[in-house]
Amino acid sequence: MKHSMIKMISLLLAVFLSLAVFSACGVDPNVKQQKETASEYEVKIDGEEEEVEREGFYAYAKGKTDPVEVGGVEVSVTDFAVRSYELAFLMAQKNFKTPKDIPLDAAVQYAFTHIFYNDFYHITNKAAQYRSASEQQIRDSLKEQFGTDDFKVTSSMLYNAGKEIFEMWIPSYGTNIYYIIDAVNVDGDQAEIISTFYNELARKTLLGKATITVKIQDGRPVIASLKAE
Amino acid sequence: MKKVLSVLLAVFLLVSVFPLAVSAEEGDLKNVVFNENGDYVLDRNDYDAVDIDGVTGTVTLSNAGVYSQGRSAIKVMNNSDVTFVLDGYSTVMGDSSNFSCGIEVELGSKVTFEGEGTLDVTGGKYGAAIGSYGTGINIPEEQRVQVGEITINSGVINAYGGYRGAGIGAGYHVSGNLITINGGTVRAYAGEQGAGIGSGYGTSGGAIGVAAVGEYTAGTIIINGGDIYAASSNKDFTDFSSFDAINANEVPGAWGVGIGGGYGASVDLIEINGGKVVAVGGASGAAIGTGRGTSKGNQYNPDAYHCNIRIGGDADVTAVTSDVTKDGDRLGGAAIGTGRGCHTGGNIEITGNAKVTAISASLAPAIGATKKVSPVDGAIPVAESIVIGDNVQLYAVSAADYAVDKDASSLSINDKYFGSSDRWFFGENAAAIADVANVKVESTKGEQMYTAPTGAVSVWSRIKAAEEQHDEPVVPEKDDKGNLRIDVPLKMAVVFEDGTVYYGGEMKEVEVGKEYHFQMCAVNWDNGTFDDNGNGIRGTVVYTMEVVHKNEFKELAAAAKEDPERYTVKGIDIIDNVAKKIIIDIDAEDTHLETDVNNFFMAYRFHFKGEDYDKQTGIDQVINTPLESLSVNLPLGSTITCNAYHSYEKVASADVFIENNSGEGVYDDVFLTSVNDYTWE
Repeated sequence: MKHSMIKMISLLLAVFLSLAVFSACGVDPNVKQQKETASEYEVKIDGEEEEVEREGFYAYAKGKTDPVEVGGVEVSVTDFAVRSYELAFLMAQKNFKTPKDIPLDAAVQYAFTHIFYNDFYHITNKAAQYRSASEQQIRDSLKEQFGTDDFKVTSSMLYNAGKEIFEMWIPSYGTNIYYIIDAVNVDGDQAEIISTFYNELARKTLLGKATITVKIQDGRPVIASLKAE
Repeated sequence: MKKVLSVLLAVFLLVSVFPLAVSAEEGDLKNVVFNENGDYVLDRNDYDAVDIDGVTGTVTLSNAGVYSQGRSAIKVMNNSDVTFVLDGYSTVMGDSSNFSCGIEVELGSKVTFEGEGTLDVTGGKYGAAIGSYGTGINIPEEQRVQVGEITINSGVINAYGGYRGAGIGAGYHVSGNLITINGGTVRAYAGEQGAGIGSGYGTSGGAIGVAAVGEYTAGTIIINGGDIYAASSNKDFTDFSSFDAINANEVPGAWGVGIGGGYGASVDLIEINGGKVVAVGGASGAAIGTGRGTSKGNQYNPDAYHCNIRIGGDADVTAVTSDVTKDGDRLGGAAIGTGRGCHTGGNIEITGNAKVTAISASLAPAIGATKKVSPVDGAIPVAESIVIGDNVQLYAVSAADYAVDKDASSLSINDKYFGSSDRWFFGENAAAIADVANVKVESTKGEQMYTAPTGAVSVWSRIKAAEEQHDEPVVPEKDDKGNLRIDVPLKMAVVFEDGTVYYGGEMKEVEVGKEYHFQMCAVNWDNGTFDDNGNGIRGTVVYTMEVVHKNEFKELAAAAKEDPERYTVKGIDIIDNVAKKIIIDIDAEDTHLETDVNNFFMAYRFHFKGEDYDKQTGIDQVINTPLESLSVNLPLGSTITCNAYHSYEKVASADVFIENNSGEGVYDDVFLTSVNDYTWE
């Protein structure tokens, strides 16, 4: 058997085993945003790294998981699990029965950040970044996230009434998110996505739990409510 | 019939001769394609992707933002020759999860940067901020990604290389081409093990003739002017523009280079003819020259490995290599020359009226070859040639035996300044190095002090004789500037958009009439520090400061008093509450920036239901040592994680979004606007 063939079979076997392990415990390997640190390339004085000569490469995929159908619309459960993490743990908005319950400043800040980033955990900038946005962009983002822009957005502390723009230092929200989706309950045009979040990859210590309700509005899924602890 | 055929033929010929016009601006609003010569403007802040395809012309980046996913944010391709005109503050980011650049420049295309604006540009995975992306594998040269030509004439460019990409230049496993910097302010950081300016991570060693160490190259880098700051790494958010990290031996990265070839890459030519240059290399890599080589002879190509450096004209160059890795390994790396694991120190020429400060770590002279065995034959490498001109001002410090590679195969300096017998080994005793052991260098953090490595024994310094100094003509200051003190609330910090952190009491030089953005941050109470490595937290609200002269201030103050709801007018400043802006009289005695509670930050008090005795509160990154009856200033828009303790045992935790006051604070049944109360149940 050719050397390359053996490599190929080994690779396939490794991929199969990885998938089997992850699927068994309900973990989506694509969601965690694990930093590529230099740890795989430890600095040694005389024994420097052996560079890996791979026949292919592995790039992180995102949001690749089984979606569910809600009211005839395909919904990515991992996307909304991440939304629940962002709202509960990065914006400290753990409970709201409707989006209107979210404090104005938090809602605007959340919408502002989503204008520029699909997922907060992608924000890996080194420091805070200055950004500006128009009122229309904020309203569009609110509608995209919550299905409503019924907020007095220009009363937000991010609004600069002198320039009539919104301004923000977007913090480095980027972080690893370790979670398991416990259950997805679909009821008509709504779905509850229940997730458990952990502090580390090994999923040993509990960070919290969240139940986010998604509803279909105008053919798109939007956030309806959240309950987290 | 003939007529019809004739008409059809004519139409056919016309279509053949004149190709159907392609829209110059295609795609939707967020995905833009320019494919005809002309001048374009990008002025939205939410572009997903921009393609510049076969265009000769200009593209103005006017407060633009391009944030891509799955590709480079801006692609310049198909023999384009485009000038980016920088206007305002623009941001371009590649995708950190996919092979990409901020601005990708294909081979055959050229980009030039001009204008007075600022560009923050970040590379994606394996990609330079400006230049090429790369590959995850070693592949033969003819199959590799290639990069076009990059010129910077003016503007402010902050370039952050993606993982293993250069700040400006090539990506991972890619050779550089031609980079020319004629002016502007350039801050360039490699992602990891690459060059701030030059190539990305080259290789740790593939097969000779295919992708061995030395077969990748940084190409040619020419600096004729400008203020250039280039560092080998910005990994793990370490700010290499602060020498504190280097002085403290807290260097997270290694093997990269400030300007030149990244890990395993040669240098065709680095030519610095002018400008002010500060370059910082990683442990084992040079500051200016080449990065880490290899110790494996079968993965090193001595026929291909080369390094040529010329510094001349009026260049003002500071080159510093870090001392050790974070693990404490001393790896070497010349300040100007080559890194560890090479067979040569290359050819180094410093001439003209250049002023050069070169500081190296252990195992390497400041100028020359790192003194670690050659991968070729085990010999100690030497520089092929070193030339130091008569009018050069040189300060060289090393922790190794010699500051200059005395064993270089060819060495040319002027004896008259250095004597004869001891010219290679000056200042053996500590006293002799006292004046240069602490070297002041300028960086983006202002003037900073670099402390010579512990054990530095060799110093070679030369200062032009006083009689040779000519008084420089006094040139009146072009800019109208002044100084004011930055006052900061208790346990807080003010951070300006250039990253400078003020803790209170420091003076700041400011330009009259210019707006400065700043933000409020809380410090870590344990060490009084704010940084992005776990000390303190940032707010999100953008504030602006502007200084004006007294007469203008009086006029503005008089007008502001007419609108007391919007403005708060005080003795030396006016707070525009709706614009979140402070206007300050720069001519006032004791002029300073002052921020107040509620508008700029919020005071929080933490109590327990019942009584507070032996119950404490802590806040991650701020109050790491829990306190009873905690009262703390916190920046607006931040999210804190606070923890409750009973007898210092953690009993509860909560996340709190920090907002300004809506009257929750209560004192003697009176609502307060200056404080928010948080009560643990």
